[in-house]
Amino acid sequence: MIREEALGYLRLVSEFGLCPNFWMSEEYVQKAGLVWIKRGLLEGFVAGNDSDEWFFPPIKNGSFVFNDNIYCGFVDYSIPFVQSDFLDYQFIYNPSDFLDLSGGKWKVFRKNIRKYIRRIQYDVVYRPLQLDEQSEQVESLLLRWSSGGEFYDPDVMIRFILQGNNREGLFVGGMLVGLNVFDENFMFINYRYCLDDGSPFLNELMRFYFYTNSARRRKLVNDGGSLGLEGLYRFKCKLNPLTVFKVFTYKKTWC
Amino acid sequence: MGGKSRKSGSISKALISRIASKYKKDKKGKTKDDKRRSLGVFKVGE
Repeated sequence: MIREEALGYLRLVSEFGLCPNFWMSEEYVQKAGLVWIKRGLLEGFVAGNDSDEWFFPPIKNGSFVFNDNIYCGFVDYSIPFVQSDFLDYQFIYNPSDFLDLSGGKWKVFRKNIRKYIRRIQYDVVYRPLQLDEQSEQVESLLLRWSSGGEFYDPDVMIRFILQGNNREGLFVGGMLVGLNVFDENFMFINYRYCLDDGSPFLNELMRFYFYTNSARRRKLVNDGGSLGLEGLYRFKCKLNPLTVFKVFTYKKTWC
Repeated sequence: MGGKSRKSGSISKALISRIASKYKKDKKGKTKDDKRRSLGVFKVGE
């Protein structure tokens, strides 16, 4: 059921020519357990039946409504006379840019992605993972990568990493050392997670594999935001984004 | 950063096991969620 509502919502976003944010995908809606509800003339997604804010802009008579409490709006879309607060950035990349890393702007990245490979003496294989494949290795990598850290929506993250529809792993000598997880909507591939075993420069290599592999899908990549972390913002800027959008939270104003 | 819909926390083996148990299949190839669904205990939207 929720699948149909997610697809219907995204269809309307597309019909209105709007730009979906990082969380607007059928798989995210399912994995986050969002619920579709009706309140008066409005209907839309909420994070739980008792939530007092809409997760995305709700719908009224076939149009989107913004003057309400809404967790995240559309990309680069602020509405006059509606109170909006900055939520996060959305880094948009063209995967084809990663096919040719020539020139000064790629110098550091180009050097870094070679450093990991140079140290490895085993076979390196990057390939998609089937559902339930290598689940013990995936769990072990997740624990190693996340150790001690605090994450937003850890349960959603675990569902994507263990049971995501689109997972690509890097194997060195048969051992899983890195994992990329993504999903997509009608406009973007959403790059959700990039896990590594902590080896220096492996994160850059994982990103290189992800983007070069994504180039054949002929969609731009939304790599989400910086979560308020200055270091992450700088790191993502160094990967030469096509553009950096903003996404906003809306607050209901009485008028 | 803003919004209150997102909660934060750490990732533990216990949390992974709790979430993974919903996906693990029994001998008949059914998950816990399949069984709940067949008993009609899912809430609207699940």
